[in-house]
Amino acid sequence: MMHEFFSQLGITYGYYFGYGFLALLLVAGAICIIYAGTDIQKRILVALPVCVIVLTLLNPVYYKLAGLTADYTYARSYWNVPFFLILACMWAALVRKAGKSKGIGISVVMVFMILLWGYGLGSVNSEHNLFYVRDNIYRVPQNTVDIADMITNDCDGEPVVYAPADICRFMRTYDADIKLVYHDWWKELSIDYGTYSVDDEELIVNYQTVYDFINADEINYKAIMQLQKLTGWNYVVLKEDSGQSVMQTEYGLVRLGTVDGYNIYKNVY
Amino acid sequence: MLILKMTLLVLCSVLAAVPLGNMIFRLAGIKNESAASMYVAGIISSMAIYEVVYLFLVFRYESLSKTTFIWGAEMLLFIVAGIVTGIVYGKKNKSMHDRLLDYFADIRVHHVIAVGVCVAYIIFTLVYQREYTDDSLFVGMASTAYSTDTLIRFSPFTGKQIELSYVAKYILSGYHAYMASVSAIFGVQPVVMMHNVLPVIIIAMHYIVCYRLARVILKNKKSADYAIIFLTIIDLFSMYNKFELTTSAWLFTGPWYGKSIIGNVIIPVLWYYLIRIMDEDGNAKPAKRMWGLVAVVHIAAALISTYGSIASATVTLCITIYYMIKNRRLSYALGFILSSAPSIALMSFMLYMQHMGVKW
Repeated sequence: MMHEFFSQLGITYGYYFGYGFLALLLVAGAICIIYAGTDIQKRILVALPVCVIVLTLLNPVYYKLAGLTADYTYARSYWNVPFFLILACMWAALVRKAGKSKGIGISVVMVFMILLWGYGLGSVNSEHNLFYVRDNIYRVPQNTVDIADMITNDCDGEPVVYAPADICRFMRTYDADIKLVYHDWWKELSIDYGTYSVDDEELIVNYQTVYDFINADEINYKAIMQLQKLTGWNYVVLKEDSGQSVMQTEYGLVRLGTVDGYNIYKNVY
Repeated sequence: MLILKMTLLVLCSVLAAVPLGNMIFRLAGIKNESAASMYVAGIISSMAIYEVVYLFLVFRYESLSKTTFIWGAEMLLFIVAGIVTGIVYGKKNKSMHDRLLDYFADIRVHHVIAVGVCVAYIIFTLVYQREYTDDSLFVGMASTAYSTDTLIRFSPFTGKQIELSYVAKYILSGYHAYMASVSAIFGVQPVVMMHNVLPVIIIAMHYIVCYRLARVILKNKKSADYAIIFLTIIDLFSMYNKFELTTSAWLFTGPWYGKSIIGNVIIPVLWYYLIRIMDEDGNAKPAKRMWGLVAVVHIAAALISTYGSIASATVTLCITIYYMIKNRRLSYALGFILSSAPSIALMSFMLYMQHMGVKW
């Protein structure tokens, strides 16, 4: 248990402070405050955070209790202390104590250190595309909005949609009147798992099969149509290169249009 | 039209929250709080009132419109009471007008810069937003409640009908329904409100609370302004960071998520109120009624997320223990027990559900 506790403590520290620049700045700030701060600053900026850390993060009993409630409770225990505000207050207190010229010097060094922490030493989060302006006020991918609009404008009753994962993902955050056959994030299906008999053939329905029918490189048109009989989807969205697909020629679906390389079909039967 | 509705929503949040905050502060025995503090207290109180209404109705599968109506009526009552007491207090205490004039006369360059960087941060967050899959749950739940006029009856993912136990982890927190209710009142889709209006409100609340806490610690307006400028610099640079578990990263990634509100607003608010209650140099108020204010924060935390009720109780316990030892006052323990009772009750219920084998 203790090994697990210390291992989790290290992981959590890494998630919060990363390479430790801010932790270093906090320790340096705390030393300065102990040396030159007022009583209330010593109490709130140093003693109180230490007390909270000791009672929570460094406490194996707390770790055990936190684990009972949710797996992320302990990992978020760093949030119990507003570290960044404390650092900012330490900084402001030192600038005030040091006077104008020294204060500017301290500020320049601090900005440089924070820049290093945030931007330097390979910590830049390049794999996430952080800074881009969303196309619309809903902050939902534009192709999802266009497809949802096309379907709701066409549908008289209740639209049930079967679509690739990246289209499903935010469809219902934009328009919750649309029902989906499955959702990839929660791995949820609108029907129960099982083996169903459709047109005298057996169709295995579980999350993976329903996902693969429409998301695999080779779209399984037949299974998609079999699934229509089970789930009652009335719109299907397919990522296809050709304009005229099997869905129209063989299964008689009506193509509503194409959005961003996705063909949207309506089942008129 | 949508922009107009969103502006109206922000404006109404101020017009409703300030009198509500005033009323709550009066009930807690505090008289001279700033309008900004009242705003924060007002928003938090509106959440707490919603949670109480929600908990009574969710297990009966009541509709969203009924919940919105009951909550709206209660809010109206508190807001009117807040306005009346504000007017009465304003008449009795003529210096209030002078204080307002003093505030504007006292504005200095560093104050303008501090407000400026906060506004810049809000704009930055509004313009650049990450696509995050959590939206399909948290925004999805609000959108589903809004579209179906239910609290929790349909899955946010596929729209199929579900039992409450299916989302056991989330049923005690009415945050999604709160979002749906506010959206319904203003006729704005929850996705629009959460991505465009909520960042303005939450980030503003974050910096107001931090400023108030900095004022208590640094005992100086100028230094508090500096602290806010420095804090914004730290917040800005944490956007680049790959360590996603920082509160600052969440303030940018999704101010509309419950965890972000807990880390950036609720916990700093608890620090502020508890220090105000127990730290003798931190303008400590002897009023025992202030613990009631802490209880309101606890209920709001429970509305926001399950984690909120755990975190708020933990923070309150730690700070109380510290001041109990430091001030040698055992009476603080009673304050903790009374104020944290809502969080402890919800946590116990949660553990009971887990014990009964409800899928978590």
